[in-house]
Amino acid sequence: MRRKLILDVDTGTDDAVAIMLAALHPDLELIGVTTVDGNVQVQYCTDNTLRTLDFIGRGDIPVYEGLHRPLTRPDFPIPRAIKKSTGVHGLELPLPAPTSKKQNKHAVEYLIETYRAATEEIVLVPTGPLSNIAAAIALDPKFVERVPEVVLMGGAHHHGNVTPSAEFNIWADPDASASVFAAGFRKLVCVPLDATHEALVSLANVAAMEALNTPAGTAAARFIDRRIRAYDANQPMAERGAAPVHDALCVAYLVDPTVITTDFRHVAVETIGALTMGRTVVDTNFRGENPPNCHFAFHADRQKFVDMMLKTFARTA
Amino acid sequence: MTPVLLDCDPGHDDAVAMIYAAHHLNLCAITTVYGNQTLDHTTRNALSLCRLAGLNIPVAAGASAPLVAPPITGGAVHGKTGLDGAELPEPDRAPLDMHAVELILRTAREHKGELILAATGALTNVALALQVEPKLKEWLRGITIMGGSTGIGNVTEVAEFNIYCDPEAAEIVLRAGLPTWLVGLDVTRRVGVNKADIDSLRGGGKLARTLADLLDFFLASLKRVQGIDTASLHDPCALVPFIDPTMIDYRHTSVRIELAPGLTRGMTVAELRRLGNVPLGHMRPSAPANVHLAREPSPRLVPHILAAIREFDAAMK
Repeated sequence: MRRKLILDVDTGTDDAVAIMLAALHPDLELIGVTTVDGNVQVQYCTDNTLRTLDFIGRGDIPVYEGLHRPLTRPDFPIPRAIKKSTGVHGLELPLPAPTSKKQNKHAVEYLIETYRAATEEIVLVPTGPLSNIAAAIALDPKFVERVPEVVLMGGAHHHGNVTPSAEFNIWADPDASASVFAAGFRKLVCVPLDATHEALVSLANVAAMEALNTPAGTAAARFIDRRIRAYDANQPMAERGAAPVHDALCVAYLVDPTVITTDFRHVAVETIGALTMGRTVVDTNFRGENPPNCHFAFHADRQKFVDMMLKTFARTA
Repeated sequence: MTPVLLDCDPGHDDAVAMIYAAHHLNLCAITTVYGNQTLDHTTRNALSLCRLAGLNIPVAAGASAPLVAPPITGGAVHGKTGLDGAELPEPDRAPLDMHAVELILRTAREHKGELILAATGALTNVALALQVEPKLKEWLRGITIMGGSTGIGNVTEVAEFNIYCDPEAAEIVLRAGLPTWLVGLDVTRRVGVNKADIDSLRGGGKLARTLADLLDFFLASLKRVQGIDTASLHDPCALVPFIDPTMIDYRHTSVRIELAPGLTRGMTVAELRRLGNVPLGHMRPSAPANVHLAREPSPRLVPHILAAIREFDAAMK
């Protein structure tokens, strides 16, 4: 049986790759996509999501637009206006404008209604700021118990990206993130930078995707090529000519859990630090008083991840 | 020989640092601070160790509490006296009738431009000395500290004991603009002795056997309190840059202390990202590099420290 999932995204080049992996992998059934303010403003996230789905022939998957700003803060900890493009995403993805339209329902309503009505397990996969998820938790007291598993991309233990100690998704809406980690989900899997920076995709991999000569191969090659150039210029990885494709690693985990290696630890989110705002505080040394609540991925299997994408992007809808 | 003043809170690993320094460097004074136990205990321990090791050097007691933070002590790991586990000789003298800060300033004046201030406890005395005498910055060659951590905490989830004791003092010291070396828990945890290492000291004289007893107690304590299988020689690591710099790799980077009262108070926030040259708006580079931060210990370090103890002990006979 195919695993059902909902993606909550801020598309975004790596979200787009995650969407294609979820929409095309034969073991997965992507039942809906919700969007949230993050990499770009939410209307662009929605538009980019529609473009991506249309391009690979999966315009049938419904897209719901969500929060246009953090849940409680008026803006990111450093205002959006100062947030310059790092070139990793761009405003509009380099694909034709979409023909499908977003649904006339708010993302948070969709999430609550879908889980209330669900008769089968649906994994929730947030790969952007956690504003929609925190809103659903706040609105529906039963939401948390109805979600069988959350697999999110966010956080960092050894080094951040947006600040020395924080990763963008968690940092962008730290209060929402704190609420999601503290909510008590039955199973919470966190895929942080520690794992995604081990699952780098290289220019050679990009060439192989391009050579698939499929819509997904072409789009993935285009997005990841852009990521590699931006990473090389602004936040070089240990290896030049390679970049992380963070969000897609969450989707890969749903198909093959061995694509990451996790430790079961307590994780909370710092919401008042002057230097550490939005840091995932991982109790690696069991110093805190709280029991573990999160499977935190410290490592990833790069080859398995790349192979899965290549195999999946060879498919057409 | 490099003149060194050791500001410490003995403390089992401080005791090892004292002998390591006395063997390889010109250990010219010891100042004490609260921390692993109360100031009365740490001062008494310093004097007992001096008698045991035949060190006729000035000892002065310093701060008994942090600048701002509420006091804590590390009794759980170091025992009731701060140096449980061995029969130590009674001190044969009282500490000098002056504050640690005065002894730091006096010693720095005597060794202008040469003195290394090695701090292996809370940084209260060092911060006070820097505030009291602004010229101290010019008199010191540098400050080397055992404290902080990247990734792992031993008091809270992310904070290390020495820094957590007095985060405000630590921030004063790191911002002082002096050449500063910092070795944290993430490195010192990998510089640990096991039972066989400890037993290798038992063939020596009274000093070596006493240190073996102390380390046995420390090993058992750490196993019980923190579940680790080696006794970390945290404090001697601080001396390594002036004894044999090839034993620990240091990287020059920005390190600040989180002072806000959240989950991360007392955390050393180190810049470990690789950033390109493009100004990134929200992805701001940190403040300029202010610290040589330890990253990687050599496997030769533990044998090197043990050899120093054996040689010092043998030379006493």
